[in-house]
Amino acid sequence: MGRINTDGMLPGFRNTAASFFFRALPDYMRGRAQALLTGLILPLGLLGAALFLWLMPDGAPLEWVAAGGMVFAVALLWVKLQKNEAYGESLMELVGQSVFAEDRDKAAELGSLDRKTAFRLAEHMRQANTIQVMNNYADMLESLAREHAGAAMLHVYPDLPPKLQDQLLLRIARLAPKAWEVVVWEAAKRGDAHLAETTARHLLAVNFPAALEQAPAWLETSNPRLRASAAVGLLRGNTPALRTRARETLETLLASPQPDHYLAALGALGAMPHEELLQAIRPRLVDESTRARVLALKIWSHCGQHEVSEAREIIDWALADPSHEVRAEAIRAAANLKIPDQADLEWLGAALRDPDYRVRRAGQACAACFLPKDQAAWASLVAANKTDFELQAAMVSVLAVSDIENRIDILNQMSGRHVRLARDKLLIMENLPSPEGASSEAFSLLRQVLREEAHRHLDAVLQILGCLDQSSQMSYIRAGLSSRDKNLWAQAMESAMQLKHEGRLFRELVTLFEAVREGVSLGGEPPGGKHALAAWMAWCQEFGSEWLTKCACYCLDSKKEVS
Amino acid sequence: MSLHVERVLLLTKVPLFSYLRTDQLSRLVPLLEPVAWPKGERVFDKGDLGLEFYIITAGRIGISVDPDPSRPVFINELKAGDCLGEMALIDNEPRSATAHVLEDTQALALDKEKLHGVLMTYPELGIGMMRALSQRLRAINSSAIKK
Repeated sequence: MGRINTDGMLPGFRNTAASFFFRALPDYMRGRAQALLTGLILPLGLLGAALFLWLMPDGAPLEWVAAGGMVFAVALLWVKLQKNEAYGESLMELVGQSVFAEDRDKAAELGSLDRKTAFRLAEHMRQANTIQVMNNYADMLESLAREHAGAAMLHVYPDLPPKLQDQLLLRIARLAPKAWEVVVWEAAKRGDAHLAETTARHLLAVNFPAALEQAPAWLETSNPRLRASAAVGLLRGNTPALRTRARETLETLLASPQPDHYLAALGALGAMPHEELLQAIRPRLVDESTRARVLALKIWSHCGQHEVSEAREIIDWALADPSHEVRAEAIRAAANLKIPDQADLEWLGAALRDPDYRVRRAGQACAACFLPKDQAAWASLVAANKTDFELQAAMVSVLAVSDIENRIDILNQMSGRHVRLARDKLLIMENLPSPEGASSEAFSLLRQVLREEAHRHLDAVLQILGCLDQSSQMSYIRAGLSSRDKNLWAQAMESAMQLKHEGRLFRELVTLFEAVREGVSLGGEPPGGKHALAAWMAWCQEFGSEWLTKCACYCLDSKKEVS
Repeated sequence: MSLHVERVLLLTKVPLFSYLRTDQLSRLVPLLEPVAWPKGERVFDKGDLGLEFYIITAGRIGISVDPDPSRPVFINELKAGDCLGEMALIDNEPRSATAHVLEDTQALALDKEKLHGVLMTYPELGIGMMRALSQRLRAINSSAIKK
């Protein structure tokens, strides 16, 4: 009995608790875990053993002891399973406290706001001191209380500074709450020239009578911006009596050599494009002013059908423009084009790889327009796509929120492919020779690039998992795994392995992550077999990114030079 | 092509860029302009306006904070892989030291505007910059303590 107690029961309690608590806990929590172990777990173990011995009658047959042991073992197993679950949850909480991760569920839980709350939210716009802050409130109103957003914005509109009114007017005109025209008309009378121009354009576009009365005077004014705004509003509003004059006004402004004249016309048309002036816009696509090129591109892409060859030429030209603003507008314009076969992934790929983050963001924002809309096209795209990490990240984001029926299968297929590629790249990295002399640096670079690409494949798997499971748990795990903090990374990985559905995949990922981060050997055979340098280089060129292909070529060249 | 990869190889050794992946470094390379100075020349003097920063690819440069730029009293010596001149680009102040070319030196230059663009594109670069500045501060501190 004593031996059962010391050799079986106590180590059973102690080892289980120790392995539960110590493996992933950060240093500052280990003292508490030790206290729990010595102060609670061990006495409980001793108490259990004592109870068992006390209940056992004198001279009881050995089978009774065995049966008691069986019951104890089953109870221990049950406790272990329960603890495992609780352990996973507590670890998750720990990771959640240490990382910042977006919790999408929270926004969804908020649901739709009632009229009173929408108006209360709009009140905060009065304190907004920048356009960005005001736009954030406006975005919240539109997404959480679309029905009342227009009325709520109109309620605070008269009290906002003209700069913010000018921005908000566009939303109000789009949402068109009751009697909005009267409110904005009154606000425009307070003297801000820019607001007056925007208001004129929007009110003329909806044929507001008071604005129409002023229109002939506006078309004659010396201020080119007011003239352009009024003309664009009249074109949209379709007032037959003033339409011809409005078009002529805009044509004159667009043909003017004075930048403030043609920029005024482009600015007004950019806010409210009209295809009647397309011919007058074309020369401005190659204007020396960046702003003119951006606006002309915007107007051009919103106006009617374009010939495919012309459209391709314009977009290719604009995507190579030295200005990031033009390149960002080019990708937005490409997304707007209503031409057949517009799904040109090369444009999207170029934007996503652009050196300027603003162009990359523009590419991400309109990626959906370039990607397939049906199942078969997606399947062939996934099969044909080479390693272009930026494009694949955009593909995952778009596919995850699409209504393609088998999107989960496609995402799983993509995730499996990334895991395979990561493993193969790591195996090649492991087996690469380490030559001495001139080519050693080249091989060392190739090794680094292979490691980086393997890491990016694993990040892509995490992104896919995040799309498949949008819970806060997965957000925490992903954020923890992206961390450079080893402890946090280990906790996140351990939490991930406790997950019911993805636990197996994470167990595979842990091996690959350890190979990437710690250089732990995977021990398998690389693609093409062992000692097959030429085959590995060919593989890198086929399955690697453009950069890996370059590095593989450089390695081969440097090896040839040496030999 | 090989020159491009060789420059990437050089950048991998620069602490400033230690947080960037090699493919990101590859996109940085076209922004860098090669420059060279003969032994005895000065790259910049204390008090000059800072418009560029340099990554040394070959050679040695001595850093002096003496108010007289012609006096070579070095507080630090930089070699291949080290950077110089980044402080003036960050704080917009005049150069805080004079850089003397100790032997024929080659470097890659990145101008202020491009550096700001690169920082916006790769925010990780900011951490690398802090790391490089911090290492330099430690080196200066320890040399001051030894004195």
